Amino acid sequence: MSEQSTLGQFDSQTSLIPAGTGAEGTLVLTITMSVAATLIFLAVMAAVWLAWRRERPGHIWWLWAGGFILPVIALVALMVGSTFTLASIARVDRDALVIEVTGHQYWWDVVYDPDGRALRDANEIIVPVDTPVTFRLKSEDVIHSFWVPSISGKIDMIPGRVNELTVEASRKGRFRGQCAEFCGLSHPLMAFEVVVLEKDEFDSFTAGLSDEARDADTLQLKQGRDVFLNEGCTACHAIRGVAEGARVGPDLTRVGARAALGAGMWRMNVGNLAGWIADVQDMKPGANMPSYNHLSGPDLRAVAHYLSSLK
Amino acid sequence: MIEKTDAEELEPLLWGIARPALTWALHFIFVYAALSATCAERAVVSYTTAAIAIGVATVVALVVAGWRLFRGNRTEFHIAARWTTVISLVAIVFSASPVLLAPACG
Amino acid sequence: MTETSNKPVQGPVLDSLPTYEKAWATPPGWRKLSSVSHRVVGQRFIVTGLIFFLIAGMLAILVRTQLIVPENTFLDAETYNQVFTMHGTLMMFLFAIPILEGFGVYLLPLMLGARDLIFPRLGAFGYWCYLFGGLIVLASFLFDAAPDGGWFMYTPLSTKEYTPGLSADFWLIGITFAEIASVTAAVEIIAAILCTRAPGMSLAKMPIFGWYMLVTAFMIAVGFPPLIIGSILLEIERVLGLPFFDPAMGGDPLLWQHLFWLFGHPEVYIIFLPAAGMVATMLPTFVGKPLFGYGFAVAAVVTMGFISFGLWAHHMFSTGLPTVTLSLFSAASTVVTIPTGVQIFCFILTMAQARPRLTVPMLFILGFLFIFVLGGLTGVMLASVPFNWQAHDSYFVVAHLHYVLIGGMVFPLIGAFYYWTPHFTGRMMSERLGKWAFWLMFIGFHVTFFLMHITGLRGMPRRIATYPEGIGWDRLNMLSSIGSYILAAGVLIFVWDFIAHRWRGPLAPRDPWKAGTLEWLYAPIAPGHNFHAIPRVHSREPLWDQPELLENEAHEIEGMLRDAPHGRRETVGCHPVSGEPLQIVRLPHPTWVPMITAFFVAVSAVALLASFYYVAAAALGATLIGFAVWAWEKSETGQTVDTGPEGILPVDIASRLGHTYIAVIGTLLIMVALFASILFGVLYLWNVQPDFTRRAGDPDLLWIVLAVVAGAALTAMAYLARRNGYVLYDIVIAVLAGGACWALYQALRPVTPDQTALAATLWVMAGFVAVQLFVLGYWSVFNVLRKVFGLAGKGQRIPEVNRAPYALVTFLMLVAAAVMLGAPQLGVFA
Repeated sequence: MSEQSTLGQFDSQTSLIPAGTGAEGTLVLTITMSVAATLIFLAVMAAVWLAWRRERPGHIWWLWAGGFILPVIALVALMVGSTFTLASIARVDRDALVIEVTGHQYWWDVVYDPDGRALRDANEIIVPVDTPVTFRLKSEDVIHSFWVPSISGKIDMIPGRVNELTVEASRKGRFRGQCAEFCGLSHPLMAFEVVVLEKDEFDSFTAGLSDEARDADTLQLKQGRDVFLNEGCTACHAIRGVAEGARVGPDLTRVGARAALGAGMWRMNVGNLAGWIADVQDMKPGANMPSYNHLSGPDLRAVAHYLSSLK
Repeated sequence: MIEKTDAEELEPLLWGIARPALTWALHFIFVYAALSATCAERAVVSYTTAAIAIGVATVVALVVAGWRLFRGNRTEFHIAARWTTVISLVAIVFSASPVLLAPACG
Repeated sequence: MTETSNKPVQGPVLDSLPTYEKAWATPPGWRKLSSVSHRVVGQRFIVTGLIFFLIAGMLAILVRTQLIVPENTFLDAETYNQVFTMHGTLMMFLFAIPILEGFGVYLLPLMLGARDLIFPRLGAFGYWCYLFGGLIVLASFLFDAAPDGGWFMYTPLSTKEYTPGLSADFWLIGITFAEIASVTAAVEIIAAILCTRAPGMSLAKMPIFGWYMLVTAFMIAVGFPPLIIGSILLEIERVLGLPFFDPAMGGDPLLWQHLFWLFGHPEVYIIFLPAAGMVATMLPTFVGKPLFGYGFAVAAVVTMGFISFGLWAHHMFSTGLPTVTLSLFSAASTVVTIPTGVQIFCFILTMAQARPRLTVPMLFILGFLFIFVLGGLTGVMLASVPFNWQAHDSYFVVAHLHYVLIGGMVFPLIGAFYYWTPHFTGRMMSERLGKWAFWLMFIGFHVTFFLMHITGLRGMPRRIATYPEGIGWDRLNMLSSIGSYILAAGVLIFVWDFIAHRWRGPLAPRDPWKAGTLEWLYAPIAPGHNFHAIPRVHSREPLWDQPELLENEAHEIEGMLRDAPHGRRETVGCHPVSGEPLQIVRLPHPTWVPMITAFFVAVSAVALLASFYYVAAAALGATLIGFAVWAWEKSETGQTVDTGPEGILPVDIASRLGHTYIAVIGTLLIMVALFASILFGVLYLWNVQPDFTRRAGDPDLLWIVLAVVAGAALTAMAYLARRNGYVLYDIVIAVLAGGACWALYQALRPVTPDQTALAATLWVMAGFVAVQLFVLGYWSVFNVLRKVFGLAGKGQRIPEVNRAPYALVTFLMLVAAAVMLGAPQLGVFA
């Protein structure tokens, strides 16, 4: 699961190379409209050029044709095409898998099977291929927007409201998403990754989610776990089997298995983890987590190793 | 074209411009209000009621906007009144089309 | 006792001038600041707007420099957020509308055959409000509190909880203050276009620029109020905690978006239309033939003005609105293409009539056609909902908006500068520098913004201070940034030309472009006055079709109202439709009152920002006194003037066709739009948050009824007073107005405004009606004082005639508010 992060991966966040039915349908529409717009533009510029060279009044039917008839035809075609595309991509599937994602400044709270076992994770979303998934989107603070251009269009996460987006990934791989509604100081640093797996791989993943976190078996890992428990981290972060209940910050049960840190922004490794814990406010100004720069070097290393081991 | 518009002739033509545009505006407000009323959680009216109301409002709006189509090109303002009517009629139809084509709020 | 603004300017040099020149002379030296003439006020708007343009452009260069490479550290996130917010805010509010307003203020009287704008002091007051408001917004940089929430300041990010400092307040207070200029200009332009045209200039003979500006003015009157109300609500939420946008208390963050975009979409058409009007004026000049399809253009401009109000939610396609609602706005957004296309084809067919002269303004018009049409096409693409779901909030939108704004407004504007600067300064700008400016701007623009369509489709969201390396946006951003430097170079060449032409440019002959409209009647040596005598007009292009106008010296042409026999400034007032002369309008001489009054409003705004509420209230009081001083003039209704060829005309008539009445109607349009915005808020929250309907206490029904009764009586009195202006009527109206205010307050006391959003909105609605009642009371008290001190005598009843519709509309608002307040208890709207 801890494959290469999409961070820095060329074309991992683009609507032009679709990996979902929503993006596929929209791309057809995009290309059609772009071609049509180009042709119309060239036609109008040709009219400008012809008018420039001409030296006697044009006939009124140019105005009818160019200003009315052709636009009406084009606009009806656009409305029909859009409605058709909309109907095919905006399906509401009652049996779809539900994943609830809540936007925060500046991270994503992910809950699999929210009406059942409510399995919590953060910043990385695993979905099965060729299966409709309904995202239930909320926000706890300001307006965010959930956008994975490779898979589908975006929808906003608005406090006080629940928006739903049904998508279907059409090929396996990792795709990058990003918050698309300006949400504050670290809005540019609020990304996430979508991992598309085979259905059976996805099922075994969700089955494993309810397990407790991997145990701390070496001395250093135990030391790290103690740092986690004693330095106040449990006020905001939960790790199943170690510290339960806190929802202010991301769930850290499988944090080491995530390919990226800080909501899709840095590679997940011990060094970055240590740097994050010690000085998060420098990496992500305005985040709700304070910098833990009072930790001693060994403590910091230990907790970073511990978190990195939680796969 | 020889411009012979005098003030008396101009006033009905000006109304001929204002009336279709104002009708479009009132029709749009009605459509938006009806859709808001049916699609919100409170759902003061059912979707069918809203659709029927919009249908009726559309017919009325088309009649009110289009009942005088100022034929002829005698003055620029005949043209202006006629074209305002034509554009407003198209716009009224476009406003009504979503609800008349969609079976539900969505 | 007459007010100083009725006395001509004094001084030794001026004493030697003939009476007309003396009456219209611009005060010399620093006293020029007291001038209220449209030429001076218009130029102030234009120069100030240009300065804001350059500041905002520099902010854009900072943005592009930060984005030139991935993970750049040129600007930190906080600074970047301030920079992009201020770039948008300055461009949209402090550059685009004011500079076009400036051109309108300067050109309209000249094109319409008037000696000045109809309410010169109002225009001057508007300018100072704009300047002081703009300075307040800029000052936020000095306090490290520049707004940083994006130029549309979405809630909840812009509420106190997430933006605790003063930055959002600088935006809300400063921008609302600067908007006063736009709103007062709207009233003035409507009244000027309808009431001060040259004899014979019926609405059918009015230059097309007049139609463009008339529609724009109506759009401002209806389109700015939603933003004003939204800004007031947000500021009240930040300062007093009333929860309009808080979902936990029955509010909705989307209410802000609806109110903002109800303004925001018409706003971009308000920006486009005057620029298109300038194209429609310049293009026929270079073709040498009249605009093709004047009637088509009028129809297109009117329908565009209306339809643009039905598009607003296309900025909200990804917020989760019902699909059928999305389709409604998608359909309306596509339909607006038709009137846009009609105008473009009118321009194309105008060009077809003859080979146009390729001057610098013509180059910019061609640039406009190229860029704006492309931008319009991407706009139609964005109207498609599924495509919008990918492109919204990405660089595709950034590309689109700059194509339509720079193509549709900036290019025509630069062309307009090259065209009309000879009128301001008497010298031509440089053809050579103009061509350089054009090509650098054109090429730089496309390099910068065309690539952004691709950048957006490749997944780059907007408003991000930096982007990760290697995802696929690196080269695109670098090229866009390089393009922006080329664009900036072009702009700087234009600015240099604009400054340097004053000593380098060749002197301009009379009618240098061989145009047909009246502003070119005089040689462009910029005198302080227009039209020694106002000629009768028979055509839309008077300088082409009436040869006597150019064959004679401008000050010798035959016309009405020759010179200024009593040393007073005056112009002719006309019938709104036919253009036939109806009255003589007396106009003010230079005065300091508008500037001082605007200064007190500025003090009030700054005091609000600094939370010095008593100072703010005192300054507001001073403003009210300022308005009283302003209007403290002896009424001249009843006098007559011999205009010469058009006979004897009355002065300042009290009639429904008069300019003050039409101004009142324009003002009422704005008041109704303000009230409608509040009503929208009430109905929206009632519809969308049903649980909160009756949680905060019920208004007192008895007091509501008493308020309505007082309002009805007041309105009846106001209509009676039109016939006989007895002081008693004024006193009774003032008392009833005060009583109705009191009754409204008593009605609302059981409702706690900070309990639910709906309760807060009802308070705002009642408060708004109370303000209108206060206006009526103040008006009536002022009337009493004028009559007691002999400024208004028998038969001089302009205030009474004008007050009646104001009272009626206030009463209707009061009834609507009473229904909203009382209905839940009566079982309706529970």
